[in-house]
Amino acid sequence: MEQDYGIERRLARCAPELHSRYRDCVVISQKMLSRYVNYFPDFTDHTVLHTLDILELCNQLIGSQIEKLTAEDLYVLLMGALFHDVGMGVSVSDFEQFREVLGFPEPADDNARAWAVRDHHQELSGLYLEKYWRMLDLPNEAYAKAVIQVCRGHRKTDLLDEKNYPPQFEVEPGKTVSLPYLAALICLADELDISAERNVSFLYDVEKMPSARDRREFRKHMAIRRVELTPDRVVVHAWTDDPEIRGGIQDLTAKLRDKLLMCRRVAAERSSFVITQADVVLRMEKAKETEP
Amino acid sequence: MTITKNQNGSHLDLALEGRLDTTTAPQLEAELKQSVDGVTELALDFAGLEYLSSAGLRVLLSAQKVMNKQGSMVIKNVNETIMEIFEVTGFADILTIEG
Repeated sequence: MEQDYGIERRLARCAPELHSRYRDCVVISQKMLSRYVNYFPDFTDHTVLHTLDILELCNQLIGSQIEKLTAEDLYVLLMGALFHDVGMGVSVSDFEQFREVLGFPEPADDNARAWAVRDHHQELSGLYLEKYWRMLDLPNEAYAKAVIQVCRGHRKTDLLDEKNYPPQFEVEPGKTVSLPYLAALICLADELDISAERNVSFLYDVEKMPSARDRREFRKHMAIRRVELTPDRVVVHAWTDDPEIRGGIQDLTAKLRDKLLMCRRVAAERSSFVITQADVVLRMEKAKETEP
Repeated sequence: MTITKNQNGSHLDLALEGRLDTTTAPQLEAELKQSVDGVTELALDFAGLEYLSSAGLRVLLSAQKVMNKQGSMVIKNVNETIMEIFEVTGFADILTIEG
């Protein structure tokens, strides 16, 4: 995948002060995200590599509309990309505190806690930001709220809910961000980051993973060579001989299509932006052999 | 934020007072840039520091990288609030923190 971080460059040009605040948070995000390995040594990548993919995918989804995004939009989007998965790396004490807020029971053991973290991580990310937004030098509480909603919105959240995702959310007097569109971008980019590029095979010893479910999930990701965004559709390039994995990829493609259509609708109905891709197609074909 | 500097040969003590955040971090960055040449032992005294944010953490990380090459850096007298920030951000693993 050719990397282009146009969003970040544009923020640096339009609003150096906001860009500096964003840059100050990068290391914190990296450190927090690297902790997810403590919970999930065999889970798909949620480190800074995933963050970079999200940024690149957002960049592609936005395309030439980047000119329409304000500096405030760019800042909220970048912070959302950095922190949407931070809930995967919260400390045990923060987890305990947040668990009580969310109202789910105390996990029986470390394994149950790990799964609770995974299942609720979008809400844990939101609560982390609610607790620590001052430490992250967000300019004010309204910015914090915007970033929280973008992070929460990456899964299991209704982005069409106008109360939680108002089309124009004021972050400073007279300055608004397009909250539903920004949340839809992170949500869709997160879903699109499913190819083997995210889970580089040599980083994981798939065959030695103790859980059959983890092994199956990884084989599925490994079989997806590339996710290509064309102007009008998303193409999933994959190949496997295994019928079970093949079926899994077909299911995954269907899930991706649903998510794309939902995010596309959010953009169309709640913003002045568009997501031009209208379908997800699966190309199940063997890669051509290349000379070394 | 006020910075009180005390240099003794290659040993540099910087005592910080107030808040180390996005507004004041450039001040510490400038002070370090100006003073750290030839220093082999850098001590940052946080006894008077009330608050620390991401901008301050970024400056501390840069200072740690410089001192890793030319000597050592220690952060002293860290209060509970700031210690929590070091722990929650994972910086407690990178920095040498005393008391």
